[in-house]
Amino acid sequence: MEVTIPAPLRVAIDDGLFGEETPLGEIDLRLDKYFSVEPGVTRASLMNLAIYTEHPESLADDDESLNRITRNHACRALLLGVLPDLGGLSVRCWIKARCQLGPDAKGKLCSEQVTFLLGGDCQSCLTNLVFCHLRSDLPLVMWWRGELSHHFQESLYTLIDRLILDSSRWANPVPQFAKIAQAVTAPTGRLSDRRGQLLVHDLAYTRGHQHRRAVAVLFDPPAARQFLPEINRIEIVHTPTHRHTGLYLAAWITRQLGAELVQRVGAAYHYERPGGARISLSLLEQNRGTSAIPSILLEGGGARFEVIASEASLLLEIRSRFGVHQTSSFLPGPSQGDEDLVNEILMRGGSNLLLAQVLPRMAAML
Amino acid sequence: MDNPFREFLVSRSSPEPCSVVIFGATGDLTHRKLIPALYNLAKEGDLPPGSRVIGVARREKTDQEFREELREMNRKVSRQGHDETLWERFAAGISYHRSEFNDPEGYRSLGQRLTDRELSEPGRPNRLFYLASAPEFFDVILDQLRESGLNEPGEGGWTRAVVEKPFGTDLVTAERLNAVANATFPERDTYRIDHYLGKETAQNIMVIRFANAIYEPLWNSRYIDHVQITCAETLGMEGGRGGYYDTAGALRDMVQNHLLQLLSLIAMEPPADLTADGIRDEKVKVIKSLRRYPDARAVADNVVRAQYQAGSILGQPVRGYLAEDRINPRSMTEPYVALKINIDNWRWEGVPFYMRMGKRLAKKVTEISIHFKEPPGVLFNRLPVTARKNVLVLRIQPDEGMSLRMLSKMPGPSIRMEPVKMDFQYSTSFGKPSPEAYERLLLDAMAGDATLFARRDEVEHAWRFIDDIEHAWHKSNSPPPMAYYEAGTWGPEEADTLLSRDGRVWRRL
Ligand SMILES: NC(=O)c1ccc[n+]([C@@H]2O[C@H](COP(=O)([O-])OP(=O)(O)OC[C@H]3O[C@@H](n4cnc5c(N)ncnc54)[C@H](OP(=O)(O)O)[C@@H]3O)[C@@H](O)[C@H]2O)c1
Repeated sequence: MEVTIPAPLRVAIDDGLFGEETPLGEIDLRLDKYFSVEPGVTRASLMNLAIYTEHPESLADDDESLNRITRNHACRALLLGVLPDLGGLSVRCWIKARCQLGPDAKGKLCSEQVTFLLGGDCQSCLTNLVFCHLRSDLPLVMWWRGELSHHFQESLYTLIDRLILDSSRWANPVPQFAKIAQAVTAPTGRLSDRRGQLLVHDLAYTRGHQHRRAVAVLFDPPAARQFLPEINRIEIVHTPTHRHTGLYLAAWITRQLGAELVQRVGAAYHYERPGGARISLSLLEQNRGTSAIPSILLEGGGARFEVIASEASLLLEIRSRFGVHQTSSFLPGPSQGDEDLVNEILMRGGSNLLLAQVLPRMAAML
Repeated sequence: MDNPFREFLVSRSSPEPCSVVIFGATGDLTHRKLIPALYNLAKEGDLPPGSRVIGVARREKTDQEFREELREMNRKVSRQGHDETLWERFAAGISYHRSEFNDPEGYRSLGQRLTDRELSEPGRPNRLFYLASAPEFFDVILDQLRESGLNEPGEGGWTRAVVEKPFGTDLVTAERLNAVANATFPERDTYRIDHYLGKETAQNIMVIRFANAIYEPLWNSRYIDHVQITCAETLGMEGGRGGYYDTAGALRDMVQNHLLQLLSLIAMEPPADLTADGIRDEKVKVIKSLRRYPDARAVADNVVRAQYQAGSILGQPVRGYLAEDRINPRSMTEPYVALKINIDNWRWEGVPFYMRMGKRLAKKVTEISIHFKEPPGVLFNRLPVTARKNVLVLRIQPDEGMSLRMLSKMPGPSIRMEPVKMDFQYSTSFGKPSPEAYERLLLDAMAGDATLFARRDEVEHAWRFIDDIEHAWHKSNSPPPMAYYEAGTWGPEEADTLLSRDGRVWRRL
């Protein structure tokens, strides 16, 4: 079945970027064969990791992303490029192994990758295709690039254990978040042995991880914690693309302070604590530095607590000033690229409970 | 008031900032292990900001010189590489304090330094004293800490002591050191390092046993035939280590601490909870249940000591033990020991634990293997097969991981069986390299979590067991003989006999 392929992608294919083109029915056979003839090779796998995109012109970049992730996380990688606009159904696929030297330079450790290019609009085909090429008993992590299209539907997401997406560039986030809410509460699929809910990671949230740590560190000293009830002003600066990260941080900080949103005027939000004390929170957009969040400020009762990203974003400076004390120290800065964030998510694992709690509050601020 | 921003953020207790005072700061351990561990913690953002390091030793040195030396070494050995910007910030918190270990004035000025610093910054006066000196100074330092009052926590803060190995050389010295330690710090603030417990696989033993439904029901004398613990090294006495080693030997240097700790993790009952004392209560029960060797005869029957003779390692000729640098040519110290250990409790009735540790063996490997019993002698067991028993192997080093050996049918018309191996390696499965043991242990000590440190009673009971053997070797009228093996082999024949007379063999590694 023939797929009409955008020109840049054709070049990548012709250059053999995705490996050896393989008939659909022979994928596992050929992979097995490859690993059986190659000496000193370990076929390592801890999970199934799929990248899904409806912009196949970016497949070469996605391939590079997989390259960076599989260096840290051995997996069966699936790269799924979908061209929904093409009429008629067509599939092409390629296989390759990604190997690196093992520990102490003994032997090679390999992840395997299967790349699919799908033309046409067939929802169940996608699900079936993913499903029959998973390694059994290992979890499925899916990194969904871009907007959640109509392909993101129950028969697919009930197969997924961990879903990674990035809301920061969504054109219309409200209905997208509604889809996620639906997916999270959907019953587990018949064919999945996942026990709990679908775990969702929004890179827009993960980008704020080091900032959350930094805020926590600011309030580790008991003397600083005395000022928590006094905090009445919060200011979060974000770069234009990273408003969602700013919103997540705002939703998180106010949640942890036990404050509820009572009013919004433009980018100014007013919160109230159980005792009636008010907190005003502003989100400022600025185009400076490389960090998604150049700074966070919490103040009140004469105390001031700040997190400031260094220019190159490699470090976060934390500053506090209260009473006679004034201190400043440094923490590691946030991960830079999306792949690093994904690596971080995979490394940390866990159930990401906090996002589940913060997400509805963040969505309410949109 | 708890820190609300810590909710969900970390699954472990996070330490408060503290001053880490290292005694023996110009030494090898500080340069190779402690500072790189702290640097890597800082790199991961796990070192609480505001923490400081003060190194104490007797040489004249400026802060700058001290940092320079540490930087050089960190560049060479740091697990996650060396980043100059980060190092600069990290090293800004390191200073050097010159003092003799027995000089009260040095402790007074150290105290002054700590207080000055604590007053100038927010946070509580938390102090971690790390004894990284040669062991003969441990009690001097502890005494001086007490006499100078540095052991007393300041308002709202804590003081703790981390003590390196070896913790005593026998029961009497360990008890004495414990008495000094506990006169200075309460037991809950005394952290005895056993860096084996900081290794991932050692921590994983409990997870494998108690978080997987399939193992624990089989983990007893009904299904397990025997257990082997091997710690093999290819190194001999390079780098001047002979001087210390010849006074210690394999039994005291490795078995008393590391290998008995591994054994207790394998053999312990499920703890009531995962608190430090919950776990250590169960470990100490195992050590108390080790069957003692009442006399030299029993030692001769169950323990083999040996020295290596000239041979070759990886094609290179090497000297015998007695010809090594700084070794007494008439030494009766053992660079190799093998033991058959029985645990007198319900679970392990009749299941021997064989343990061996040696220098200049064929390869470097530390592992624990659980050898299961054969299934009942019907059906397939009548058929010939090379290796019939299931073996579960937990590899501690070099490639941390585990494997399970099972029997499988060979393809073909007749029923022929062969052992197959299911293998799992940490490094190939989890991309993240395991942190160095010292990173984990330092962080735990700062956070006040003593789970991975040896408690007083564990150490003393382990010495009781070891002392019987040392006594038979060095003080009895009929000491069991020294055996010999060629360097680069798998140890002396006598160690093979220890198993073969029970109808067993050492696992070929
Ligand atoms: N090295 C390792 O990898 C390793 C591994 C496990 C356990 N350990 C244990 O760690 C401890 C330290 O080992 P190490 O190899 O680091 O020892 P080392 O290299 O011999 O260092 C000894 C340190 O003690 C100082 N010192 C000695 N006498 C002193 C005195 N009277 N007053 C003040 N300072 C004095 C020395 O300072 P000066 O330089 O100023 O004389 C030096 O800083 C030992 O207990 C060892 O068993 C070491």
